[in-house]
Amino acid sequence: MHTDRINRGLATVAFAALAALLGTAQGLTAQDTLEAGARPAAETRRGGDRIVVGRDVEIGRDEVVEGKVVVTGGDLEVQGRVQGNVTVVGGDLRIVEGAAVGGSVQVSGGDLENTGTVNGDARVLGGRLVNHGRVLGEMRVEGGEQRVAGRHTAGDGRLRMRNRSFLGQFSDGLSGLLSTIALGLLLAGIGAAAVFYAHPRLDRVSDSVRADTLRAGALGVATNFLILPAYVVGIVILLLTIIGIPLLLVFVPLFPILVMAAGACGLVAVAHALGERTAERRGSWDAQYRNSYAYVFTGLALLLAPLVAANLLKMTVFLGFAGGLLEFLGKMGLLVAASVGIGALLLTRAGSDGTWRWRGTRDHDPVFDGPPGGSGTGV
Amino acid sequence: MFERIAGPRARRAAGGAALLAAIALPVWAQQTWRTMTSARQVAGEQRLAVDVEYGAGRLSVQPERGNLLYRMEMRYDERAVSPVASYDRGTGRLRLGAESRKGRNNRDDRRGEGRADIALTPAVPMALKLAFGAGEADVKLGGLALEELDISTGASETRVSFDRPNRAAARAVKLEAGAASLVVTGLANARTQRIDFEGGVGETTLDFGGEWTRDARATVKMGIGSVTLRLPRSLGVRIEKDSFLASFDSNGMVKRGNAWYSRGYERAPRKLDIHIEAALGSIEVDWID
Repeated sequence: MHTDRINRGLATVAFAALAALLGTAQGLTAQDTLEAGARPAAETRRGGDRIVVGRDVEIGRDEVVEGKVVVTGGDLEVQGRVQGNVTVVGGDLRIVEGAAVGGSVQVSGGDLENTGTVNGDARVLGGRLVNHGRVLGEMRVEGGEQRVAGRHTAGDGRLRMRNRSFLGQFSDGLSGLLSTIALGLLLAGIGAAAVFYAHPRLDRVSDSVRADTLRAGALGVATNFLILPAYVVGIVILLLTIIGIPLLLVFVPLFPILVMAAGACGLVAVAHALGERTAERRGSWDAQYRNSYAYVFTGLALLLAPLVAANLLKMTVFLGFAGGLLEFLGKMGLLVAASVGIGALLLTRAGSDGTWRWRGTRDHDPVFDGPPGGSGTGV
Repeated sequence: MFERIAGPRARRAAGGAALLAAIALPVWAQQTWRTMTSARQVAGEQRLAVDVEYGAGRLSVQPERGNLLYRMEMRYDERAVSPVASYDRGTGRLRLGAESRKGRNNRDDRRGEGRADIALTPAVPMALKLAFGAGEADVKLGGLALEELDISTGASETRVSFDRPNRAAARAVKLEAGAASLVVTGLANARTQRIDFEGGVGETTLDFGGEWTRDARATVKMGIGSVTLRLPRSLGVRIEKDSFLASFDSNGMVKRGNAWYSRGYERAPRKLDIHIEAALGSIEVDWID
């Protein structure tokens, strides 16, 4: 309701300014009548257009307007006939039984109720259209609701914009929570496998994340933008070479899988880096905290914590908005982490670049980082 | 200079914020949802040619209960698609649905946030052509006056039903499915003599239940996947099969020559001849009472 009033107010001010500008710049034609709220004007006029600003207008039962009617900042009731188009901005339009509009009608920021006849289209922007009469053209409502026949049962013609139920929101939150937990378990599995089978590589990528965060991030973002073009170009090239067409069967599904795998590995590397940094900051030098498994799991918990919290908030229903915002930030965080991780994977050639060396400022840990100047090899 | 003033930590924070903004802004700005309702009253139309095209999202089609020619409610991402509702009174051609904006994909639609609910008049005979891309579609055609029906779906889950008899006798019913799950029920209510189904990959159920008023012929072409034919026991059914690596569960039908016949085929008041071409998969017959 407040929004409607604000819309109407804004529309009135905007249209008044526009009308004043047009009146000053171009002058009014002899047949036009501009009626402002503060200025008394003739109520009835046959022939020409009728433009009214800032007050309600009624076109009487015996009245015929040969041109168009424009009303802004007020309501319009048509009891007689308008041969041209009717436009109402910031007000309601009512066309009563027996009344007729020869052209189209358009209402912005108000409602349209028709029990008469409209020969053209009837359009409503941000309001309701209730039609019990005849509209020969299209009836269109944007951003509002529409009832198009009086005998329809209540709600039959309404846009389905009802608020979600309590159960629906709780269920959304629960399903989001389960999805996040499933994602966490999947990434933890990938992380554990990476530590077990490819620890030196993971360590290099993780060190790269920590030492070259911005460079890795920039490279990751650039890669994100290039992924889709590369996919399309790859498909086109395979199609053009004709003999490459059978390879499409492999390329088309494999490329997205590789991209997703790279994203997951990148996330794991970032999680490792986060966990390592957290352990260092906490000063936990015990071996049970200083191993790559603990780093990965700690980092994943940190990365996914906002999403878990967001879904818990959504389950409370009342804090759903805060949950939505936190979910967005959490997903953005994951996207940033994945981008940085992908960038680090590229910088270190998936951790295989033995020439890459730590250039960061952390303290060297001879137990876990291996010999000075080299990347870590211990778990 | 910045480093001297703010220190390396602040520089990192600023860099991180810039990175976050670079990634977040395009995502934040990518969807703008709008709602739109379009409708038109019946004005003495004799015949309609209706084209419904909807790329992705949730689509529902059903008969209109009032005096409207059509009614379409749509929720859409205005950056990705624009709604289509055009009608040429002269030719009786009605186009409904949504079309992608140039260079844009309709992203919402894997999550089913975009939707179109379409109601069509049962009072005017029509040729209905419906093309649906990806998502879920629920198409209820019972009670409409369909003279012709052509439905094609892409990667979707589509249900088509004729829960009431067609008000007109359809010349032909044509169904095409890409990589889809398609369930069609009450095909007898379409009141047609010819049904053509062509499927690429997926799972299809064709239910020939309903009110049989004439004999009919159906062709079923399937690439890879399973086809279940649900057939009324009272119907005389003859199936001819031309398959490569597709199994066929005839469920009690009797083979004579190159064809399978239902029990009591000769005595059945209405007959259905089905010709099946399948490459890989399974064909199954279920009997319904």
